[in-house]
Parts: sequence; C-alpha cells; structure tokens
Amino acid sequence: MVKQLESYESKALGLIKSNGGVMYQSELWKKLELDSREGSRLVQRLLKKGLIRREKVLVNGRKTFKLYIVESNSRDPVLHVNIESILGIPCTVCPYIDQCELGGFYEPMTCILLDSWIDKMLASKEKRIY
Amino acid sequence: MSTEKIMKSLERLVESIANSNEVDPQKAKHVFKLVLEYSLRGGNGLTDIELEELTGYKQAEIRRILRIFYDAKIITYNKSKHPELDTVRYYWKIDLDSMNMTLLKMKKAVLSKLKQRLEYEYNNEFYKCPEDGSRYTFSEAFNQEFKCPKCGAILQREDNSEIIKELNNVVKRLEEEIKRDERKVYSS
Repeated sequence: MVKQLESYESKALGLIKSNGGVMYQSELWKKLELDSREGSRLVQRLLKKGLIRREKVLVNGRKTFKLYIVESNSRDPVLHVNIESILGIPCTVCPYIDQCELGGFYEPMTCILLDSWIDKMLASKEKRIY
Repeated sequence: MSTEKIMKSLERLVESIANSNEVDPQKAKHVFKLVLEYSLRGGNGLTDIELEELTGYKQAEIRRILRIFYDAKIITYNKSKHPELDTVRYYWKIDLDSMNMTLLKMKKAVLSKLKQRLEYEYNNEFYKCPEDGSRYTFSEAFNQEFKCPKCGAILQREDNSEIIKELNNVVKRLEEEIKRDERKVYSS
C-alpha cells in the first residue's frame, strides 16, 4: 500500500515531465488508469507537497485543470548563521533551556551537563573543542 | 560561510537534538531531510501520515520526532482542514525565511547561559571534596564546617581561574560571532 502510493506519485511526475512539464488532469488519470476519485486524491497530494501547480481551463466546454511541474530547488535558502561553534555546548540542544534560570529548577550554575562540558573543555585545552 | 556548510551544521544539530532526546538520529535526520526538501520546493508542508508513508516509520515515532524539532524551534506547522476529510491536519514545514533569526536566537540563548555561569564562577569561592569531587560555594562549605556532607572528608579550596579563563574565551568568541552574524542577517 505504501509503495503503491509512492510509485503513483513518481509515475505521475514522470508522465508530466515527459509531456514537457504540463498535462491535463484528466489525461494523467487516464494514463495512470485511475478513477476520478483516486486521481483527484493523487493530484491533491502532489499539490500539497508543492511538486505541481494547476490552472483551471475549459476543454470542449468542460472544466478541467492543467497540471504543471514545479521545478525542484525553486528556492535557494540564504543562510548566514552557522551554529557549528555551539554544537558541542550542551545548552544548544537542552530541552530545558527556556526554564533554565537563576533560582529555577534548572540553572546554569549547578547544571551537571554544563559541568561535564567545562571539565571536557579543560581536559582538552590544547585541542580546543570550541 | 557557504549555505552548504551551514546545512551540514544543521544536520549535526538535528543529530544532537535526537541524541539528547533519546530518538534514533538516523530517523530524525531522514524526517528532517524530507520536510526540508518539501519546504525548499515551496510546498505547504507534510503531515505525519504522509511522512509515515514516505519513510515507513511508525506514526508515533514520527510525531515524537516532529515534537522535539518543534520544541527546538527548527520546525513549524500550519493547521488546516483536510480537503476531503472533515478533520484538522498539521502540515509540518521548515520556515526558511525565519531560519537565520531562529539560529541567531539559539546562539544568543546559549551565550546567555554561559555568561550566567561565568558570573557565578567570578563571584564565588569554591571548595571541593578530594574524595568524591563534589563542589560547594564558600557559604555552603562554611555551613558544613568545611566537611563533605557525604563522606566527611575535609573540603579543599578550588582554584577556578582556569574555568574562568576558558569560559571567558568562549563567551568573547561567541559575542564576536553573534555580532558578525547580526550584521549579515540584518543587511540581507
């Protein structure tokens, strides 16, 4: 069942791509041998995942949709902040960081994880873990 | 710093988050990669059911992974009604527009904790048990008559100048790094 759904998705994408990146919805269903219920579900899935987009059109007086492939990597994220330097510090992934305060149940003064990180840092002073 | 390098450090972050929450890091990385891919394509996000179909992992595992990512603020969701079924679905995605700010906030939060610890080290005198290594501030040691409350050994004064020096170095470097990051983020 899991494989079936996945294979239909990739088959559908392959068919649209081989048709120049655009295809009528009804044509796709016919080629995949899906009924309208299954076909529209498949299209909804692809739309939701952002793999295709569609446009309403009239063909022989009947409403249908034209499906277009959305190119992958359509967005190139611009990331400036590298967190490499804080990856070794336990606070970075601590689930209690928002509750960690002076006088609180968790506090940086008595945190065992921070203690062991400091010990490690002192022990490998030459290597510089930071 | 190239985006590719930052992406790799994000992957390492995901691994560390998984490890600290006792979740399989390979599964966590797989889920993160899928959500990231769909977010890059500009999609609305993936539901836990879709992720289950795509990965073959149990839905409970996926939900736990999504939950820890959400707690770590590296993932977000849109809540909306399913187009066919009359149920509310959560569409998980990575908000790439605010990712820089999220990572910057993360760095600032870590810096703040390190500064608090540094201040504590500066402002206190420490005593240590030579037997079990437990550590006490001056007032705690004074109240215990400078004897370890666990084993009774005489507490010895600890020289924490190295801790202060190393912590100070880390804090200074992190402060400089954050300033550089802020310039890049706000000028972009």
